[in-house]
Formats: sequence, structure tokens, C-alpha cells
Amino acid sequence: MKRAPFVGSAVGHPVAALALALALLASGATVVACSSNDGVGQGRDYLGGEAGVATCPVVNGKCSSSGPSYAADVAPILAAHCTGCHGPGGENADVPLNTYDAATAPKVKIISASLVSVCKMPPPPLPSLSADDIATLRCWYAQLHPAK
Amino acid sequence: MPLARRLASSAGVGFLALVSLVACADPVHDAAVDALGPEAPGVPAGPDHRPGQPCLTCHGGQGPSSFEMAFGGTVFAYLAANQPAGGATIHLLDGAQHTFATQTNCAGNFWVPKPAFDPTYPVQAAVQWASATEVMRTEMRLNGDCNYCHVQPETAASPGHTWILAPSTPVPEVSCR
Amino acid sequence: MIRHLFWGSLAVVLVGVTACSGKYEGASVAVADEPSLDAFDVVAKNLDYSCGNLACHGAVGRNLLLYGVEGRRLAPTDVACGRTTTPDELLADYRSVVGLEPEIMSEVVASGGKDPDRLTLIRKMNGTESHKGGTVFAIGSDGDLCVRSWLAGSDDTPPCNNAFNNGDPFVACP
Repeated sequence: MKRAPFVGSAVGHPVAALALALALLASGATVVACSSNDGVGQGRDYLGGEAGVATCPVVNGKCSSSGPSYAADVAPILAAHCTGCHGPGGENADVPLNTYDAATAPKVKIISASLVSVCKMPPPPLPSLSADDIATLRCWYAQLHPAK
Repeated sequence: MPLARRLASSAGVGFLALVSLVACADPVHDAAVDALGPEAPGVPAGPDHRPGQPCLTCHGGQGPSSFEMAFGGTVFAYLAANQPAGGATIHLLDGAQHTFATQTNCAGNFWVPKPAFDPTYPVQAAVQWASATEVMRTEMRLNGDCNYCHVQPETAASPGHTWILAPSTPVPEVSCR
Repeated sequence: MIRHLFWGSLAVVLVGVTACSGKYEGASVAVADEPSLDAFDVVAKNLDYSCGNLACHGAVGRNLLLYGVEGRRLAPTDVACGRTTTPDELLADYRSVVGLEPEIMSEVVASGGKDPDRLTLIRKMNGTESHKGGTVFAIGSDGDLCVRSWLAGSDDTPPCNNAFNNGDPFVACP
């Protein structure tokens, strides 16, 4: 009897041929399901984003004799970076920084400057303050009676 | 044909069938995709679709979407409502001190494509919307699928969807796309 | 041949049914030497924060299921990141940790915390064994020293307190 090759013998047998056909059909359908492309292209309508590296600025500058003022120098920094949490409705509203009296409370004065200097505040992953802002807050807090 | 050859050819066919069926089958993942249900009426598949649903179920590299994300989620204005926080900024910091910032669209959805930021875990996150700020109290350690954990409503197993405003805080005027 | 096959198959089925039948009375494993429950709270704080989040060991289906304020709550009426970790959650975490490999835990504690790498918990958290969550507490880190000192019966809390959110209490759940 002539020996048929493996595939040929499978095709030659009716049940095996049916099973092979079903297997090919299933594998084809499965491949399509796994590689579905919903048409959303990479980056389509992507809003963009910025990457960077977290660093804490090194601040060595000396404070001037006149010192920063709360209204002109400090309040804008606190409003931009702090009162979102440390203000009305914020998650840290119990430690407010949105008014002169609140920002000069004894506990706040001691803690705030050191935390800001080492970029513990604002807490990561929020961007840390710039070197200038850190210097402003440090110098202001260093004054015995911080100027309004 | 001898019995041995018949058995061998049938076994070969059976093996082919089994391999092809198993190769792409992940019943757990398939069930998770099916559980998301159909698209909402009037919102086709795209950047605005399925706010609040776990993005990486489909966009996490296992399919069915070929657009792979490293992070994805939705920010809502309030815990107790479904109003989106469009134009909010999401800040991310990974374990290697790499940062990434992106914004929500008008549906509140945000995403970070995999090539743009492939983080070292754990990752910390914070959201800012105008003057409102919320810092995530825990860290992400497994993946960036925010809505996987942030499921509405808040329960013993979920802190609720991601929100940014205290109940009494008015919605800010922020532009979004 | 067919008759042999039939009786052989029947014998296999009968043996299998017999082996699987009967009521399992159960037996609790007695851990002879347990690590301190009193000293566990600071350890639990670290495990809860670093391991117990909702995507990891706060997810149902994981071995070492952990409960606490940082992740899954034990009481259905509590919410994630709500009130502080409850005593019941601490106890549940303790049982999860000790019950993972109770016999090995007993041996490690009995030996004064020697060779804690015998425990899968240590190997996984150190990253010396394949772990989906990667290295959680690197060898020698505060978190690593926290767990090891607990197993050794020490009440050395500074590593545990330092490990928790890098010592920064401002951001964690209450």
C-alpha cells in the first residue's frame, strides 16, 4: 500500500479532515479577535504631557536686610502652591496658610520653612517650589516679626 | 491505514486544534472586557468614551485595543456626582524620581501612552484643578489603571471615583479639550 | 482486553470516590511560637501601606489578604481611606501574615528571628523571589528591618516609623 504523507493521511480521513478544517477556522477567528485594532491611533487627540526629573533646588543665598513682605512676596507663593490644600475646602484646611495670621502661627512658622526647604512641601508628586520661592519663604520666616 | 498511524494523525490534528484555541485565550481578561459592556449611546470609541471604567483592561497591552497606555483614568469634580473635571492636571512621580504631568479632557479622561512614560513603581499621584489640589494618599505599585481601584461608589473596597473638589467648592472655570 | 479495561477503570473510580468522600473534620494548626501581636501595629502600618493597597494584597483572591485604612476594609460599612485601621483589621492582618506559613513562622520566631528568608513573605518583599509587586522592602531598608526585628521579638520601632511613608505623615490615609 502506498504510504501517504502525514498531512495527506489526515486529509484523507474524513473525520480528521473535518477536525483539521475546524481547527484552522478556530485559529483564524482567534487570531482576528486577539489583534483587533479599534482604530484609535497612538497619540490621536493625545493631550500631551511633560516628563521631567524631580529635583529639590539648592538654596544658598543670603537674605536681604529689608526682607520680603507678606502681601507682595509671600502671599502669591502660598496662593499658588499651598492654599489649594491649606485653605478653605482643602484637605489640610486644619492647617491654613491663606491669611497672614494663619501663616505666622508659631507652629506653622517652625515647620513650614524647614519642610519647604527640603521639598517635603508641597508633597511629591506636586512640583516643588523654585529656588527663588524657597528663598523668599525662608527669608520671610527667618525674620523675627515677618513684615506684612 | 494502520491503527497507530490513524491515532497519530488524529492526535496531531487534535493538538493543532488545541494550540490554536489556547494560544490567544485568556478567559479572565475576556470576562473583564465583556463586563465593561457596550459603548454609551452617542459616544463612540475614542478619547471621551467610558469615563470611570478601568482603561487598562483594554489599553493595558492585552487587547483588544492596540493603543497601549501606561496610565489611564478619569477625574470627577465631586465624589458624589458624575460631573467631569475637565482640564485638570495630573502629576506623577515614579520610584526613580521621574515626573510626568498630563491633563484631563472635557470628559475627565486622561491617559499616558506607554512610550511617553514607562515608570518605575511605586508611583505617586496628585491632581490639581485651578486652585484645588488633592494628593493621592497611597501609592500605585502594580500598574497605572486608576479606575481599577477608584470605583464608584466608595465602599470597603474602593475610595470612590477620583474626585478633586470638596462638596461646597464651586466648579472652577477651566478650559478643556 | 475490554473486560480488563472495564474492571480496571471501575477499580480506579471506586478508589477515587473513596479517597474523596468522607467528612473532613479539619484541624487548626497550632503555632507554637508566635510573633508579638502587641508589636504588630507598626509593622501592620507598613505592610498595609506598601502591600495592602486595593490593586495588590487588598484585592480579593490574593494570598496574604490585608485589611486596613490604606486599602480594603474589613467591615462592609467602612470605606477605603476612611477611619483609621481598626483593631479587628490588625488582628485579621496578623492572622494573614502568621497563617501564610505557620510552621515556618513558628520556627523562625523560635530561633529568635534567625534566617527569616525561610519565609516566603521575606523573600517576596525583598524581591529575592519572583513577586508581581517587585521589591517592596529592599534588604537593609527600614521596612525590611521593621519586619525582621518584629520576627526577632524586638520592639525596635524607629525602622518601622521611618519606613512608613519615609517618615512623612502628611500624605497618608488617617
